[in-house]
Amino acid sequence: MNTIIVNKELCNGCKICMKACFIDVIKWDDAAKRPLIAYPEECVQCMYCEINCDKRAIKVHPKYDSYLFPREHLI
Amino acid sequence: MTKHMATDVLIVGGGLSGLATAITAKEQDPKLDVTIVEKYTSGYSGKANRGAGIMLILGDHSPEEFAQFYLKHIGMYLNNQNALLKYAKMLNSNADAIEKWSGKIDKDENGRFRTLKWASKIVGRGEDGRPIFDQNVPYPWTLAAVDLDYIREVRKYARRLGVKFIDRVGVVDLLTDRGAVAGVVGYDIDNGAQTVFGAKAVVLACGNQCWRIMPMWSPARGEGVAAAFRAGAKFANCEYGSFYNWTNLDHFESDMGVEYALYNDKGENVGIKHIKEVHPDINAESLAEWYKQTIAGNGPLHYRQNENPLMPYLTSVLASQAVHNRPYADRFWGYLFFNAFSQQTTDHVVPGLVGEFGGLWVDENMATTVPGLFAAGDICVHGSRAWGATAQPGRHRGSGIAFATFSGRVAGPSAATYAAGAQSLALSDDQIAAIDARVTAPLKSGGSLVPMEMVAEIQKVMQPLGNSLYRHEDRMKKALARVEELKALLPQLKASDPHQMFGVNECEATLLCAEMFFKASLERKESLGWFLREDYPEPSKDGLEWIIVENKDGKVSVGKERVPLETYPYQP
Repeated sequence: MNTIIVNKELCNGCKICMKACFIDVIKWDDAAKRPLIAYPEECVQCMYCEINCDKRAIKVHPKYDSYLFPREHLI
Repeated sequence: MTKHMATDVLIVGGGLSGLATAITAKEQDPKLDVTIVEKYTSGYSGKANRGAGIMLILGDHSPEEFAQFYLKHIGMYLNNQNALLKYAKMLNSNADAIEKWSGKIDKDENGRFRTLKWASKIVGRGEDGRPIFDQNVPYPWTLAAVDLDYIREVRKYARRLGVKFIDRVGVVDLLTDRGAVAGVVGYDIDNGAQTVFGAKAVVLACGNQCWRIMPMWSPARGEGVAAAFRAGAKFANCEYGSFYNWTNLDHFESDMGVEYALYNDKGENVGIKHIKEVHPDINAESLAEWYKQTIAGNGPLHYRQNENPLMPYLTSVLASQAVHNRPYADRFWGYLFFNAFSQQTTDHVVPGLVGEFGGLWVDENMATTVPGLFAAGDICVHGSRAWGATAQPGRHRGSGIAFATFSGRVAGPSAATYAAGAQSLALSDDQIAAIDARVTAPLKSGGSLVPMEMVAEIQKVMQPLGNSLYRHEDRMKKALARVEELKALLPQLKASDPHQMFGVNECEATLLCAEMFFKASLERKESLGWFLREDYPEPSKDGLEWIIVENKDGKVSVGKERVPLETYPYQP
């Protein structure tokens, strides 16, 4: 699956990464005031969390090999 | 604990079409309470901020010129010509509206929209090094460009008008009173709390069904389609909801113009013969060729990108400042291209199912057949019948933003007029309880399947080209039988949190859409435009008909309606 890394020192808890996610991969940890990468296996590497983070505190490393796609069912 | 809220106009979905609906409803009647309920976060959600950011406008061409070209070359006259002409007449003012709401359309030094016709050729360089294009292409439209952070600005504009926003609540069903829409039921995607909304008018602007296969289209999971079906709405052109883009299995980013440079494993160009003199975009025949070559043992198929004549155009428009000034879009496409091409290992190319299944029937005022229920955006592109015999994006790129803006600008005033003359209807406790039982059942289920396992099984039915594009009765009947098997497995799906609870609702919606798709496809016994049948390779001699899908006692029922060509201005 894709790897989504949060630098919790750089993160200022603004929630923009959670808001930017259009499929609910990123939840919010209210106690820690930091993002919770709850469903990385569903991430579609749109990169919106990373692009929208002013603090450069989140990074997505796509791993396309594990992307859910019916590779053996094309015909 | 259930929360109860009431509003005049409730819009499901805070993407571009929902925002356009809200703004124009509020502008028409500022006294009305207008509320957007969005499953994720309005301003970021939807697909209209993750595409090319190009917006189709007419430029100097006339609506009639556009319509006639479109009917002849793309829609094959399977169009509601009144809807097509209305769309065409609003194309230029759509761009004015987006600019007013966001200020994000790229302009030249004189403040005019910088436009570039699709597939123009680079013929030289200006003093500033920017390419000069020959825009003498045979397509009666042009493209403006918008930076991809524009929807955030549109949301701010809507908020300043007084539009209310409720984010992170997903709507799962509509409430009705004696057949008219009375409200909706939604759940918080984080804590699962239920909210019941009363509304005088509801607008579904929550996207279509893209089968959750290609990455950018992942959020379109058909819950609005399913909710409308359960409420008794009518559908049309469902069989056209299978757009495929060329892609590479290494990274799943879309390629355009592959058909110009599509080679089989023997080294023969097998795509070029399918490019007719007028070729506005990918056609179904070149995709079917991929299928035929593969079946014949001539695969894998290869894409020789350096032979694609569109590449100079594409690389000038996307992730490049060669033509447009769009810093946010440049970053977005820069990330995607870097990630994709740094991991690409082969030139093997396959068709990836995008889908864009949006058959919710609407009239020319974006009203569905359910009183008080309207629609805007992708959910009703096919159902509007404006585009005819084609899959979205309708062989005219830039049409997604154009249709979202157009349909929102029509649906908003229509819904506002309806709401201003309507009374609040009764909300049925029985309906609310039944919806709650259905939606929350997976949380109490002792089942063994999780939603992503079901998603994988649905993909195996929908992705094959022989099922969903180059169709045959035998293959479609097998696919439909598998859909029925998967429907029977739905009670075995379990959810451990609200995210998975929504996942189950999405799977149920996707299977309903699949059933509608295959049943409508079986009924169309011909090949017409984007719709291809191996067993019926020619257009029908019985005349033009729309395939209609309706809810009869909870079952998917299919029928036909003749296209009333004699009432339209243009004839084949």
